[in-house]
Amino acid sequence: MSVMKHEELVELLQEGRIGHLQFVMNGENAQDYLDWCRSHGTDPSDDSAEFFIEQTEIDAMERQLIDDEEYGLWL
Amino acid sequence: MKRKSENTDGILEQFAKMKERHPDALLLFRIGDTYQSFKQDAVKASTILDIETRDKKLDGKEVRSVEFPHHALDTYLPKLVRAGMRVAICEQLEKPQKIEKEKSQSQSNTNEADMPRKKKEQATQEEPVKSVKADKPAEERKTEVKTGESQEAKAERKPREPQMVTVNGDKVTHGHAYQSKTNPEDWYFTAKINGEQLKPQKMDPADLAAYQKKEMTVPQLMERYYPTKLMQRAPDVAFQVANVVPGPDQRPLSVDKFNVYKEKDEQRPDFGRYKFYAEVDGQKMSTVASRQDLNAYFDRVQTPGQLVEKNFGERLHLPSHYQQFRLPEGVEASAVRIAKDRSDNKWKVSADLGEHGRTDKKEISFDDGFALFKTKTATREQIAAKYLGEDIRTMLNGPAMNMERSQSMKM
Repeated sequence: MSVMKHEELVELLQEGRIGHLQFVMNGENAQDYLDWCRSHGTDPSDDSAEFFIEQTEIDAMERQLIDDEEYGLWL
Repeated sequence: MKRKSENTDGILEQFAKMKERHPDALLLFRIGDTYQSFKQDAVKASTILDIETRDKKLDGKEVRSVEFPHHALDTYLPKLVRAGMRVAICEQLEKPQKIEKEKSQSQSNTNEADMPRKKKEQATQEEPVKSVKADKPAEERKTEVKTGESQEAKAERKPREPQMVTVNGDKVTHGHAYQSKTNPEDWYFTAKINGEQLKPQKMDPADLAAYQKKEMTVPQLMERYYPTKLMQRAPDVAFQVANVVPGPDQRPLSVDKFNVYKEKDEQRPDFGRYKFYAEVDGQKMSTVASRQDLNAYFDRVQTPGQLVEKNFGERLHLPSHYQQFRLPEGVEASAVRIAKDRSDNKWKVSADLGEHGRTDKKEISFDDGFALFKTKTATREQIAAKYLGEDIRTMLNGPAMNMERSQSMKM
């Protein structure tokens, strides 16, 4: 599956045009998710994809802050 | 606030140059205490930010412009980015001594609650981050935009030394605290494990203060906010084959399926909560999962079997569930009474603590009654400890009933 832009996927998910599984599988974390499923002995599903997103998803704006090593307290 | 002087000489020329180099970016110029945008960018910004444009005299010409206070950048920049704009921020160059002064000011504020926000200008969308060099005298007043070069220079930096290594051999780096842009009163802790960004965790203000004072280290914050990332992972095989848990009469119960899902039924009180679903020995069951257990499952530090014992132990009448409950020392089994309450026909447990009085009666669940009377995997003491443990401890630590009462009743 081709990787789609995150913002595009978020919009599709919010509009209910795709489910969580499709959201993950079309995003850049698809392989991580599949690895997670494999390591947990579970098949990819909408439920596990939703949980995976909940555990790993970082808001785009927050990501910009996190990635900026000159922003925040780095002690 | 004192408004800094607005020297706009040559600003249009700079705008034209920057636009030529970055035609697809919306340019924001830092001028004095404001950020300003011009011409077509001003119109776009005005629409997105819902602020009015005005005609401003620049270099002798009337130019359409918008401006907002510099401290509003946190509010407006995300809006521009969310609207799909690529934003380049052009800082006004200042005299070296002034920069030095501001730098030392910024450093001295490092441990203050309103944290230093260095290089906010770098918060742009996807494209290589753009900011402005401020290393030339003001007289030159040339605005430059860093291009990919700075990114490459960054990439060439030595790999960061891990701040800690977990028992699994995972390397923790980039542990730090940062302030939320959307809710500035909130601070988050985050780090990377083997280069993977962890989901930020909201910090307790006390932890933030301790971290600012260097009384709390990154490993300690990792322990606090990502405990399951640091724990020993269960072996792969535990997730590949059906787990077995010891059931009543030592009969092994097979965990045929175990997964997690979010409750979608709006009619249920646990709507929207994450739940564990398990199929054990032919029985299907689900229960709301705690955050701790969800993390343990996600990070594979507990096996499905262990999570079944913990979350469905009562439902399955497992001996291991009841073994965790113990009465405080000194309370005998004979003190426990489990009987059907005649008033409502429900099974209840209570304990006679002698001079410390008798506890309230508490109703026991069907499964606990089943474990006590049918499968006999629970004892009276365990049932009492499960329901009354806290009450008993409180009462034993309180005054004895036959001691002289306080004189509070005396008039």
